[in-house]
Amino acid sequence: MTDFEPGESASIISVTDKVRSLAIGAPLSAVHFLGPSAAFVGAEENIFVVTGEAEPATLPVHGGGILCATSDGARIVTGGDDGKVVSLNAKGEVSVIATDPKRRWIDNVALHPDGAVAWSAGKTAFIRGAKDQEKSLDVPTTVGGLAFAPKGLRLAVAHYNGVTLWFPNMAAEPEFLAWAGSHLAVIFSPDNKFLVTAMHEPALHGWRLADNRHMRMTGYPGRVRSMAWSAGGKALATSGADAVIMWPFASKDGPMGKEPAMLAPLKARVTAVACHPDQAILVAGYEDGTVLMVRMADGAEILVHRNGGAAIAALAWNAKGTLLAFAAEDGEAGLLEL
Amino acid sequence: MPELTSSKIPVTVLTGYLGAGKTTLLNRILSENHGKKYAVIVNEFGEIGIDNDLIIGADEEVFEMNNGCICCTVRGDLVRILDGLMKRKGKFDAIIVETTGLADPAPVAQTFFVDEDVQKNARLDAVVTVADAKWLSDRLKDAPEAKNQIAFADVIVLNKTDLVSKAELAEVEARIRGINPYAKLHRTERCKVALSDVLERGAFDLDRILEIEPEFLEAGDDHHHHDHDHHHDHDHHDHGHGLKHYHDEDMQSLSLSSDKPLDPARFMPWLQGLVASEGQKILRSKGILSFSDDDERYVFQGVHMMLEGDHQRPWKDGEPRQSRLVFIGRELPETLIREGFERCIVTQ
Repeated sequence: MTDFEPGESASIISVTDKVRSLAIGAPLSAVHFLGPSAAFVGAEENIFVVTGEAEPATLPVHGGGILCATSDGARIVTGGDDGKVVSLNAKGEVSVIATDPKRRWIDNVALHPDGAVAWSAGKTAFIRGAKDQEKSLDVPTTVGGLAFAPKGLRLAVAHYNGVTLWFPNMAAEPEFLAWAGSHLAVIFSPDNKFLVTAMHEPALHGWRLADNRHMRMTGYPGRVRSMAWSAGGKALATSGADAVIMWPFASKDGPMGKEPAMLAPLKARVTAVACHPDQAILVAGYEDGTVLMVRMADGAEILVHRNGGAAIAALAWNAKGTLLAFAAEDGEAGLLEL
Repeated sequence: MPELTSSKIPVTVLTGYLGAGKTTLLNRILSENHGKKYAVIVNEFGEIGIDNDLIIGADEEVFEMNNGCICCTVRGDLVRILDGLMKRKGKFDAIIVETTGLADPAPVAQTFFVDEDVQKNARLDAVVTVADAKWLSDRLKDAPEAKNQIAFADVIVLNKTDLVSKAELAEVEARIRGINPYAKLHRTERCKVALSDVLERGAFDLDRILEIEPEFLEAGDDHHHHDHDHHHDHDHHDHGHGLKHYHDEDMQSLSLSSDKPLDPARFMPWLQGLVASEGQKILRSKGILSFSDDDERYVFQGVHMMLEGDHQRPWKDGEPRQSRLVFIGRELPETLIREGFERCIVTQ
């Protein structure tokens, strides 16, 4: 990354001329890397895969809106309003994992490192293990988010008034973490010590899993839609404010009693964040189309994409951290090689 | 900042007690040759025959917001569905939300006040309530949900009028007006109503809060509309024209007006305090206001404790600078409201 050392003056270093811009031509909702290829997930119907210098290849995956997408680097799994759970692998092969018999919307998907897939439709969370056996769990209200714990086969199911922790391979009753309000996105910390949800209100809620102690993370002007763990899991970067809000998770108490760091403030709301896989660097996308690379240690910024476009919908780094992809809601997209 | 409302998808909320004819109206809207595409959100997915491409089953999940107010509720499922529908922008022109017969319209409406993302993409157009001319009077006695739906409505489709006598129709209309004199009322058979009367009403559009005059007695009683001053006590028991007037025991409307300007430094805290303390009782509120030393009309509207307001436009030359407010609610503390309002009037 020596090429991109930020300067000391007020004028921001720009790498906008090094970005390969891509006109996908369709609204986008997510982006993930499949090996060397960047896969831009459309808001409906298609995934657009860009490999090397080639033009984007359009791969149809759903017969309607694409409501959710996740990736483990080897495949992308999406859920659609056509009631289907679909997988796309690095070879470009599309397969249908499941079809809801009532054609209900697939609101959430999650992937486990060992190959298990989870999805939800309405109040039911489903899990399909590596050996293809399928199980389901009903929760009291519509599932807001799903996440696999980094260790063991444990699925967090976020819903109204709390999170249910389900161990699909155990006979024990699922564990319930209560907190009033509607919980949407949910993630485990990489060390498996904390669980964090993004609520319908502009706030995060967290639990220290050792003792279920609560952590309230508030003060956002808008709902948090994007969360990313820094390399090593020492901090959680979040969208929802006019700066990237970084909650410290390095100590055993997590962010309890601590102030978050605020990086890369702009006069625009942060809409997406993604942390570099190895280094203390993150990328932030804003509602005005700006994309900034930010060094966490001192907040130094590098401009990747200028403002003036649609809101940034998603950001992704490849596994090695040598490629950065961004996707705007209106279909403008870019790739930066570092 | 002013935003173009035209780019936002209009959402019509269709309510009505069980069996009143909501589905009939919905099918009428969908089947008419209007060249528009609707996304329809229904609650009894698969059980009713609705012919539409985009139809989404909803669970009517009413969520409390974490702000300590028990009437601050939203439809969590609606937040999620509208979010998902926005991925298919361009595939439809408008959204219709059909509620269950027992639903309270407030959480649906409040979803549009509270949720930033919903507000960004969609706007509440109107609450349309279908009422059964034959059975509504009974339901108003035994079903609080039916009363809520009437009180909340911007448009009331009084259906099945062919099943009642003229006298019965007059009776049920009077009962409706006893609760909500401000909604547009249409008498129908099999929900036969012009679509322009139920869609694109702009009832929650601050720019279109023009007519907050009571609509009651539209037949042959025109003179009544012009008789307003701030001492008008809203007592409709006898105006000598042979029509009965009802005061519903617990649900009523209250109108206030003043020809003298209001002091914004007193009015705003008063209104906010009023909805904070009495918001559970106040279902809907709206107003057009004339403030002292202010040449622009100020308009506001509210649902329970939630308020939104803005300057609308300059007062026109010769236009009477009159402030008018309307509250519809349950057991409204009339004296408290009237006295509070009087204290906001500037008396030179």
